Amino acid sequence: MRVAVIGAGVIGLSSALCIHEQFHSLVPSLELEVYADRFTPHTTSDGAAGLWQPYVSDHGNLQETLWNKETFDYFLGHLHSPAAKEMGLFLISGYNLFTEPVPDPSWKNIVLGFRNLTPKELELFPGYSYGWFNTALMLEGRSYLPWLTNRLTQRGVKFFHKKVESFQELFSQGVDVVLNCSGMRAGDLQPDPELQPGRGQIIKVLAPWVKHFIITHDVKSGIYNSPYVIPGSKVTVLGGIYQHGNWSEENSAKDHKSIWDNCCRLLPTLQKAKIVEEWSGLRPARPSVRLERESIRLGNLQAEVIHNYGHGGFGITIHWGCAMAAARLFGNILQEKKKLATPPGPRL
Amino acid sequence: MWVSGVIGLSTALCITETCPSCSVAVLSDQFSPNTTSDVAAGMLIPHTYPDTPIHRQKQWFKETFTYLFAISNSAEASEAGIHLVSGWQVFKSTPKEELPFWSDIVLGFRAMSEAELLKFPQHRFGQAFTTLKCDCPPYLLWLEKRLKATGTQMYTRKVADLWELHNEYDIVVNCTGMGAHQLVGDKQLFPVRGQVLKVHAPWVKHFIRDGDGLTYIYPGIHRVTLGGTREEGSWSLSPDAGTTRDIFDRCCSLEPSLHKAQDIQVKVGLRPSRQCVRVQREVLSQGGVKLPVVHNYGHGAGGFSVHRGTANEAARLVGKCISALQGSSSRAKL
Repeated sequence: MRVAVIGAGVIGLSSALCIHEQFHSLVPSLELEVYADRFTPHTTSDGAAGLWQPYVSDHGNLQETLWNKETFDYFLGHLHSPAAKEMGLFLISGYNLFTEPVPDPSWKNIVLGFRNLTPKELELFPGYSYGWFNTALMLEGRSYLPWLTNRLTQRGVKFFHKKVESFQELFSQGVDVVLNCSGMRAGDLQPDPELQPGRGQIIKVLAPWVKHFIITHDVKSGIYNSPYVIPGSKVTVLGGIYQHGNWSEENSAKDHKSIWDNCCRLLPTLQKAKIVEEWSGLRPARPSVRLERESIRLGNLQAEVIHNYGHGGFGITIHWGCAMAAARLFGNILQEKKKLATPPGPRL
Repeated sequence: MWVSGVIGLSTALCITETCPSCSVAVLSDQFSPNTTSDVAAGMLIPHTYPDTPIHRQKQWFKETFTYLFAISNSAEASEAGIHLVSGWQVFKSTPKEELPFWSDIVLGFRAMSEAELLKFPQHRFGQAFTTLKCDCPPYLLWLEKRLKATGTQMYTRKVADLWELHNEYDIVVNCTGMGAHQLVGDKQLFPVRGQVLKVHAPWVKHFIRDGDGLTYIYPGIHRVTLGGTREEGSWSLSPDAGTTRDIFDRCCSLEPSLHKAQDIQVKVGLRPSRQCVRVQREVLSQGGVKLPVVHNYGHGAGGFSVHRGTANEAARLVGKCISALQGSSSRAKL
């Protein structure tokens, strides 16, 4: 049973790991391969700060809220594991700021210690009159992706550095199931007008005195188009750009100025911070995550694709829940192909 | 003025602010990074002095917190080493006093939720809040810089007796911390030895403190301070290897990721402890000569938490000394 994963960002690697963990002992013939034209540190996931936080409004998408929760709970449980540092996993607290009162988010009971900001705390942020404080998790892409890669390599998963041009290409080589975790470029494999880039740009600085994340929100300008500051274990990420439909991965001087000026106004101490890196990336934005099976007829063969893409700016936040869901879909495929013995239970 | 830990420097600064015409000099045999203050983590979590009225301690803490809060939010914050930090104080059994006197001065103080306490399986109660930290040496160096800008002179000098100074200075301000034991023979002052580890663990973003005051994890700008010990009456400044192991184990049990901490440095300081902080005016007399002295020492485990408040009070006492001297000299030398 040959399974090919397209994409080596957080979605591709975690889906691969989840499937291997759950099925390798049940399916002795399982061969897992990862195909990608970009590997860490050149994926979209590597640019993300790594903060677990869904958008402030879930637009009624309960399934995604559940996947977010699954991810948070899973990693909360791993905080004390010896692998935590290597994974880039740690707790972090911080502020979400608004210019007017807003309803509590769907994730208020998922994070720890969620509460509204006190008037004295709001004094720190002139211009903002309302906000939240909570404790969440960081999962830094620059550590997590190499960690996933190591786990997969240890398990004998093979990596291929190539751009896959079509699902057909893999099926004709004898692949049985394709996991499509191609993120922003999913449209190259199968047109999807709902998938659009949400271009972001960030500045990485050295500001080790900043211990909290600070995320501002401007209802008018939309998510991530308002300054944010996220301290990592080595660098602090400054951001606040979200340009829907912009495919450019080049750093823009105008965006740089906007990020720098806005973040320094938000946190004056940043004026003394040293800039170490700048990066632009494309959030694979979609009205909802595409996580579903698709059966493709190829002659008299039925080929299976599991799509898992379109995670926008919350890939890290939702990834484990999605990986588990993708693994369940894979389990269904196995059962249908009778590759998997029926699970133990009453025989009818 | 004598000694250049956080008390000495901040008191000198307050005096230059309240009495601009005074000429201030700081004398010390040690400057940063060799003072007791440099060993301390500099966390603004007050220590309770048994014999100082609570309202006075609260006033000191409030003044200190307000002063540092303003700096923490300015462009100078990183140079001054002042930053906000959130975290938890956890207790193995519910404390008698669930609401300490300073709970409304720090930010966002509240009891920890059940979910938050899951991270601390050996503890049954906790408080979450946000407070400030003064990293040393940066804070002391910043105070020194501010002082030099006012024209204050700093001298490396060991003073064995306050009377040595009466020809050169009109008023002496005694901020000698542990040194007051010898210098003014204060037998109510006693050392409480503290050993700490300063480690590299930049993923630790929260403070964690056991309510017993013995085990704590305080993340600074570049290093995390792990503590500690409270050895009353011990004068030893030498690090103890067994203690290092014990501190590390206790902290790892509160925060397991510390097992991966690197570059462990060990430091020792003697907290200049007293039942009450001595912020007091005294006029010494010898053979018809008078020497006004203002004492500001004995802050024990709570120096950083109340330093600005006690400095303000000491500066006011200096003002009173000056008024008393007025008539005999128009410009007081301190």
